Amino acid sequence: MRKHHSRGTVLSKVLLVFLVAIMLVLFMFPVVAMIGVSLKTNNEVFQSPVTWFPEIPQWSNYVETFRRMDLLNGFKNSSIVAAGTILMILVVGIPAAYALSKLNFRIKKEVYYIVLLSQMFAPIVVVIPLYQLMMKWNLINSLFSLILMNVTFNLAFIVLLLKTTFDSIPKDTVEAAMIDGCNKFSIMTKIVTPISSIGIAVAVIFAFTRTWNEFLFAFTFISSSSKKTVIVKLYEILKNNPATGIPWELVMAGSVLTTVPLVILFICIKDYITGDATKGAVK
Amino acid sequence: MKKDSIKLSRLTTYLFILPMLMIFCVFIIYPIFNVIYLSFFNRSVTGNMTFIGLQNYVKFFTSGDAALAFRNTAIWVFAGVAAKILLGLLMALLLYRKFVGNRLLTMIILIPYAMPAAVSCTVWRLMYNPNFGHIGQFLQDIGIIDKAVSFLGNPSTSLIAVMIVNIWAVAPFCALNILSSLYFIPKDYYEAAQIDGANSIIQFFRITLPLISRDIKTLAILIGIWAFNSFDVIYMMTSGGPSNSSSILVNFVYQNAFEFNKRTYSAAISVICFLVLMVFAVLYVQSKMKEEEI
Amino acid sequence: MKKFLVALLVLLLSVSIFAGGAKEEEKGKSITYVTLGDTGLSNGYLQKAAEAFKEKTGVEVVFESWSYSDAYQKILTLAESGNFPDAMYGFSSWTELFMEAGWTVPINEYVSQEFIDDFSQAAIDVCSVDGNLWALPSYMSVRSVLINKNSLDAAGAEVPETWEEFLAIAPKLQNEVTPYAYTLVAGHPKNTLDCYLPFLWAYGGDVLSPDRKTVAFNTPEGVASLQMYVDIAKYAEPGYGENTINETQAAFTNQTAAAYIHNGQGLAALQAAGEDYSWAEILPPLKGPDGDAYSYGVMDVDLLFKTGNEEIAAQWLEFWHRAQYMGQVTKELGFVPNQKSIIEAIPDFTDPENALVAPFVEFEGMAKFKPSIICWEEIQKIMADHITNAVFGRETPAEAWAAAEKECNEVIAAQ
Repeated sequence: MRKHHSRGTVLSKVLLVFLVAIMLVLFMFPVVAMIGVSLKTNNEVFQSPVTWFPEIPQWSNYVETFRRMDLLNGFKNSSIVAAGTILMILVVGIPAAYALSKLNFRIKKEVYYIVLLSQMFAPIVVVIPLYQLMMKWNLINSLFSLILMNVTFNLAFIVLLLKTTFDSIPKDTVEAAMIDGCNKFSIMTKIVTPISSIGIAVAVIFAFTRTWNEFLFAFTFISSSSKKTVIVKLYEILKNNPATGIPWELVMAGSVLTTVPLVILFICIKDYITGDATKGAVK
Repeated sequence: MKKDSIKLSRLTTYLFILPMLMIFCVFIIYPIFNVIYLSFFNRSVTGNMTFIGLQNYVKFFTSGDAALAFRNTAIWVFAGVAAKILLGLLMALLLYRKFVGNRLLTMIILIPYAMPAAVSCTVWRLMYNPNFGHIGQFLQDIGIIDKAVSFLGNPSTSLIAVMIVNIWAVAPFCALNILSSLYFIPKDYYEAAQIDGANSIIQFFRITLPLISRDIKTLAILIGIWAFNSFDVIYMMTSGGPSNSSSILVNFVYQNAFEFNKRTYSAAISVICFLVLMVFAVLYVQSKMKEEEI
Repeated sequence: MKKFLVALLVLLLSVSIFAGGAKEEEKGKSITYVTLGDTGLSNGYLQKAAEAFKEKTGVEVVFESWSYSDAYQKILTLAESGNFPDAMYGFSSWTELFMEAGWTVPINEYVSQEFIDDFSQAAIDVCSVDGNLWALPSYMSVRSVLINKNSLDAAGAEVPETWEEFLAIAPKLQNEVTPYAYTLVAGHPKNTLDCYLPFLWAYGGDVLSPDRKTVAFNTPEGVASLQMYVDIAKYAEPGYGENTINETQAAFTNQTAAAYIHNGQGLAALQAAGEDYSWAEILPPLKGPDGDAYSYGVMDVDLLFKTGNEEIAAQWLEFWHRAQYMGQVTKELGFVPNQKSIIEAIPDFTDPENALVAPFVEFEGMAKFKPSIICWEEIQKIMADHITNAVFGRETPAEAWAAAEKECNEVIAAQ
């Protein structure tokens, strides 16, 4: 502990607090607005001048949204898709990332190229061929089609992330195991995967977030309302209002409800998220 | 006997990557070839296909759409990426310092990134609303504007307004990545510089920036690619309007396929998107290859 | 961390299991009917009709609900794979494209003649091509000018009869309570034209020339109508570049804007919510310089797709189009009925006391509809974009229409 604060450090502390405050305001005000509006009455939403918070919080908005969105059902569908995607992406992604990181084979470089390039395409440009494919396989209007799509468009990202994690495992560890007579498969399942659990957890979170938030395929491939995901149900409250205008307070309540699972998830992993594991996301 | 087992072992290696490659072939490569193939045809309303060579491409480049699409895409991608990186860098430098609530703040700024695009777009649309939006009210309160204005509805501000939303959502992600690069810089570099009497600004330009610049470059290319493809944000905010003022290339792909029922023409624009992305892709692959031994 | 991971997966899986497996769709014959924006579903009439229909025929009707604004995208995607619903709620402007593409079937071949005779001739005309009925008229919306009487009184102004008169009193209509005189759309193409076409028609212009080979709006009348639209936009609620038609409606019903063109829906919604709407007055369509005036007709239709279930799906449509089912929806949502049987069965439609619907029923005879041509979506987009440019001063009305005419004619010629 220093005894004297020089003018410089006091100044820099003030500056720090100031900058932190600005950052908080800049990034949080939409979230605050969302929560504020979600508690207003419909009349309050349209009031001028605009207020941030209602006089009396209308918690009933949440009940109403819950009912209108048939939220349990939406959560169920989103959960099925997310769980399926995570499982499949790990089953497919861990071996691939392991091979790219620790094994040698002839077309390694080419495979790596393919992984990198497959991130380049917007799903929107291929949505019609994919729709036709799903039709052919009789998967339209099934949650499995969404799992397949989410796996496809997140796989490269996850493989790169996992590869970076696996890269940090020393070669010696793998070689020692090899001498002990482990084969490639058991090295992967018994050694590499357990050491990398943090990296894998981060990958799971990313896969979860992106799957939970995925809109285009969920919107295009699913037609029966019992199979729609949360995001699509939310979007429908926004759009299906022929006569009464947008019930913003309900839409915002739905937005909060949709976002809460993600925030809880991020809070759970907050200790890992700034670690070097996330580096894999772009490295 | 031994030779056989080596061969077998080699074959099993391919089993590790086979599922992934199969998924890519079926769900990415096949559809892309399908789109490329379609782009050389014209399809009539009744579904008859006629081969027309490059005419779809010629038509796009001679239409007024092309210039507008490229202009908007360039602004959207380059200005957007610059803003995201700059903001991300500032936030990372701030979060790098140890202070009470540091972790909590990191969590909080991640919320915009974690929010579903459908949600954040809805919230921002509400906030931008000229009659009951928070932003207009705030600007009126501090006296910047004197009557309600529409940010999304005015062709001269719509693109910027949507860009702000995208920057808001992606900058935290940049911050997080830059932050983890910062943690990789050995602390003794700074200590040595401090002994030499370099102040923090000099330290930043002499030590920090050079050491993280390569990571930033890779990051910039990746979020550039994402921005290029970020159809959903624009579609949900303005549908590309008014008067195409906020449409980027992918919006024209969507518009022609799903609004005008001109699937083959839309396929040609998709291919143009692929070609432009290839430039990014080559840059990206190069910068990745440099940093990893493969 | 590992524990957390396992916990997450277990949680996800258990949520998915405990929330109950998806209901298996019952085996047996079923048809799919798509409705837009929950119409008929939210108030339960579709379900009721489906139950009765199942009792009668043993065929189950499965409903899907798409939002209005995405329905076209969705049906085009489905079309790519031939995966059509059996019947669907759509718009009359789609009829010709769907017919040409071979997606739909002529409905008159599948329903009884007395059912067709039940419709008003005007409705049948809108939905017919070459003597065949390619779409079944369902909800008709007749639009006219709605005005806030309080603003009018506060301004001390007479009820306007022409657009000129309206423009003259527009500045006075704006006050503390109702800050804007008008509300319109200059963003989303379909809505933009819904707001603009009444001007064009009142000024004696039209979208297409009689032979439908060229567009006809770039005339002195057309330019004058656009000029009037642009002038009125100066007094409009400022969200017009991003508004949807619902938002303009909301601007009127919550008294932000003093006037707009629409049907009775907004007022019906106020009525349903038990709120006061006596301040709203429905005016006859405003006239142009030569005294022309049309109400704006929007015909929503039911389409019958070529799926192999045409027979039974047509039966369903005929069943659904009854006073006790669709008639009730028509009444509750403030639409205008097209069927004599519905008008007779529900006295509200003809009751002069019913301030919401009666005036619109009266304007039905003056209704003009937008054209149905194959490339309508494109024409609509071009026109809307240039209208938007004119509203924002990026082009003069004359420049806007000259450019739009050229682009539209190219699109039509390419068909």
